Amino acid sequence: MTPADIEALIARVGLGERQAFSDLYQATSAKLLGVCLRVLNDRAAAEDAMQDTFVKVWKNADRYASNGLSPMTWLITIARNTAIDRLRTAKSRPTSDLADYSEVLSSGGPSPEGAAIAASDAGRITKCLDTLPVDRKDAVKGAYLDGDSYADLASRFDVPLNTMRTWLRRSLLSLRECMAQ
Amino acid sequence: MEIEDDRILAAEYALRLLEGDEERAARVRVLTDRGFASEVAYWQEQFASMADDVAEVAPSGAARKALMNRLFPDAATNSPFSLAFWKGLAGAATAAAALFAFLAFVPADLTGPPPLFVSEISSDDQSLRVLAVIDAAAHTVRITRTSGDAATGRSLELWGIPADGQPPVSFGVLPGTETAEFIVPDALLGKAVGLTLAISDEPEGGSPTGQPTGAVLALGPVTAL
Repeated sequence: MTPADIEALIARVGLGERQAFSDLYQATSAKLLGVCLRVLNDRAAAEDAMQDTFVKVWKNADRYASNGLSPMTWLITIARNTAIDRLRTAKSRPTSDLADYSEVLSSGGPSPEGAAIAASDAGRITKCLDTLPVDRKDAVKGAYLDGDSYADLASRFDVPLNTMRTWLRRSLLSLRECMAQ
Repeated sequence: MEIEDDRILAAEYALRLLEGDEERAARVRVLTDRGFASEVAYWQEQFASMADDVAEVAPSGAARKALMNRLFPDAATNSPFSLAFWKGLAGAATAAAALFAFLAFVPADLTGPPPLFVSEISSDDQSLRVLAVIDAAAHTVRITRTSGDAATGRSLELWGIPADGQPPVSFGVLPGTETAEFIVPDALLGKAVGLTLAISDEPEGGSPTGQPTGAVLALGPVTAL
């Protein structure tokens, strides 16, 4: 399926069409489960997070158009955030679960210009990540794919929290500069 | 410098590096500050390309079933009742009547097993034979093909023909595998009684029109188990 197909399905899901929802599930559930599994490392927990993701999609698809994200980014972002919420809830305190995906559904989404820039630049990060030192690239990828927080990364790389923070902020700044070129 | 800080904060937030109060403060910014939300979306779009390398993992059938039951409990729990409802009232589908039917049939149906329907879809000469089990509670049809295959460059498509004279509704194209599962399309929900299943010969990938375009190769009436 092309992004346009996925987008059309999301639009129909937003109108409450169950068949479109079923088709969207068919087309994207394996990818989203992969994303959840990468974060959670547990098949049962990942399937639960994947289900929660689709519940959110069903309930919020009508607000998709306002957030300016490409359709797969929207779905992957919800899946990833849902999995990370589950990971962090399991680890420590309970968090408010529905508020945690408000960013991808918010009416305060990007301006049209912002969305256009985001779309035209999409994928540039792959090239820019390669300009970072290997360990910093790994830290950014680990943060995204494994859902590591600053605290997780600090313990993984065995450095003080503030060192990790400085380290990663510099990497993000280099990335941003590289992507803007 | 402030803009730069905001851009990095947006990246930290999009990456979920922040926790606790810092994360909550950033979330408030997303909801109230359009420029900041735009920067977060920029990063989310960029970061998402890292997911390209993540392997797809097909979810279990149970996961989908649980999801559908969770999202559409009305459909799942009402279907036994709505079948009886349709049988008795033949189409007077108002919300009030549906509720009445629901209440009227709850005691009897809660104790019974979920309704299952079966169909043997076969051609006259048995060269194509498919067994189908409809789980009305889960809205799924599981099929097992015991003989027959699509012609080269063609596809077999499964249809439901309602008893009320409405046009056939597609369940989808039969995959090459011996068994497969389909979801009952919305248009056929509550219509298992009197339903006929059919398999037609279609262009590869299925009918382009949404209605059968080729020969109907096999038919089977649906009966309650």
